[in-house]
Amino acid sequence: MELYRLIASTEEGEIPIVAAAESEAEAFRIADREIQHHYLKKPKITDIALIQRKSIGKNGAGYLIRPRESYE
Amino acid sequence: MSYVKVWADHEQLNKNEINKLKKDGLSIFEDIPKYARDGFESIPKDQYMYFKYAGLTVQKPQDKGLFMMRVKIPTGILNAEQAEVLAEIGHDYGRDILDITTRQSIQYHWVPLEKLPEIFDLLKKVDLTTSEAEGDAPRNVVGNPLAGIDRDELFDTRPTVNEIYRFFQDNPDFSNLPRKYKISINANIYNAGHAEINDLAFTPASKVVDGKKVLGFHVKVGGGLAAKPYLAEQLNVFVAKDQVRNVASAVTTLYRDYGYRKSRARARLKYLVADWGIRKFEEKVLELTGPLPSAGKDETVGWNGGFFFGAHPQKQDGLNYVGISVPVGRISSGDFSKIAGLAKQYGSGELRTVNSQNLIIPNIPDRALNDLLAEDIFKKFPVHPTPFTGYAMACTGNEFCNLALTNTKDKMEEIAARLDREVDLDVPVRIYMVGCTNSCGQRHIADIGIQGLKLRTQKGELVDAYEIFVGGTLTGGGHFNERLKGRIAASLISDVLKDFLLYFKKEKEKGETFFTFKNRLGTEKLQTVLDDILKAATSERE
Repeated sequence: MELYRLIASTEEGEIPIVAAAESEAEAFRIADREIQHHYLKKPKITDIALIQRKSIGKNGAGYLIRPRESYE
Repeated sequence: MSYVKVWADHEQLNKNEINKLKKDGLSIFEDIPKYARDGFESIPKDQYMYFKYAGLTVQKPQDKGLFMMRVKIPTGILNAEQAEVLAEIGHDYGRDILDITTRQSIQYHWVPLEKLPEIFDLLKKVDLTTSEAEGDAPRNVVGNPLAGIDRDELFDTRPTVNEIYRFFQDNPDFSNLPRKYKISINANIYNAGHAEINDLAFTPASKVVDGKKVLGFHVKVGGGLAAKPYLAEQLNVFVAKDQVRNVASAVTTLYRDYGYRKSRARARLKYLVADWGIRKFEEKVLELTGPLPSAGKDETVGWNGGFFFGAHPQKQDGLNYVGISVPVGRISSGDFSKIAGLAKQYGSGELRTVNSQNLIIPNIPDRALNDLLAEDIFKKFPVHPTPFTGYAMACTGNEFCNLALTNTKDKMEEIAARLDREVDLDVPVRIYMVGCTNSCGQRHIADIGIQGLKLRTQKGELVDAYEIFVGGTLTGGGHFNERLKGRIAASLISDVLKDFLLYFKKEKEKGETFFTFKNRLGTEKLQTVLDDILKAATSERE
């Protein structure tokens, strides 16, 4: 199992998404599911990008979610 | 071991730290012969981390018993025997491929576990090692690849590099650091040692002491790239050559004893420096070293990016060095051996690795220079490379690395080759590609950085894609490149970069570098340029 960090791009800006999944394809499916679940009115998604992957070890894994710096 | 592990009773040590207290990383060398005999299945998974201290990483897929292996080359200098052995190892054990790394080391892939003892024997015979090429220990000492022969060096740093390398290498007092630890020692006035991205860097300096000009170093600490890049800061000290070991020992002792061991994500020296502030760090260093003179004159005048192409006279009259381009640092063992052979035939046999993933043949007499340059190998590895292929770098990529999301080396070569064919510039443009948010390919300091990701398009296709960053440098203390919005599918990236660079060609002033151009136009303007290009490229495909 791996922890994936994704970003959905919309006209209003970027939406950070985190998914624990067995594969990249599954991570995208989870991102879809979470977007569907979260919004009453779904934003227009331009694209979804997977930008980082971490193994989930015994001590777990995580991401700190905040706006990216210009160099990131 | 002659020190007390002052962190041993800390309550919140990470798992690796607890393991390192039980067993020192260097002890893996005692275990490897047994594992080599008994097979990969005999290695408990909790022992994988120790292989790092032998310069080895279990290669993916992780059940095949194959390793990535790295060999240290302090300041990049190899003698003839060493170069031949490195080629031989690539041929016999590494499927014929050598990678020159951004720390002047040589890296192999697919190295079988059972062959490690004989490889170690081969390396030992020529005074080379893989020990501490990875792991939480002092890594390869990088520096000026022209040390001792350089017309642009303040002085010859070979004795200092050798002293520091020997002092730290396999020294049990420094084999358990909180994380990787990178040292740079350089006296080339164009910052060939990339000081600002190392944990500890010695940079060229001078100071008038008792009316006499003394040559030595300034010191920078706490630099590093990775996902949270940080440019090293300078201590207000002047370090004479005979004090380098004293200062290096002090800085490393502080890191060992005060560096953070709770989380590996917050363990590099940069976090301690950021928390303490540079003045407190300096006070602590001086407590250990005793008084040192305050900083003198900084002798660094610019940054050459680590590129030394072409034939140039050495500081020794009648001798020359030849800088060779090795695209993205990858070379077959046969070609490496040929180049090592030419170094022996025409020069002294010495060969040098460069942190821009290239090679240098030094010590070529004037009378032999033209004959050397006429050799066929330079058609494949040019001494005057094209402005893109010659200045491109790439990390390992998803071919071998578990973190990378995309291919890098092949893609970078493909893009650079196309740009060379279709964009004719009067200046080189440094394009560095990485496959994840870390920066093994030093993306942050590239003119144009390319970072890999996976993209799902509006049509629902899952494709490799890239983001681009503009305007990185180590000139003037350094500046990290800035991201331009827009994710570019792999199928479009070379078209987009071509148009982006044709815009640069059209708008640039004569001789203007990309970094100067970016600063003159501003990131916002370049964003609008990229937006237009992306729009056009996407509509063409639809």
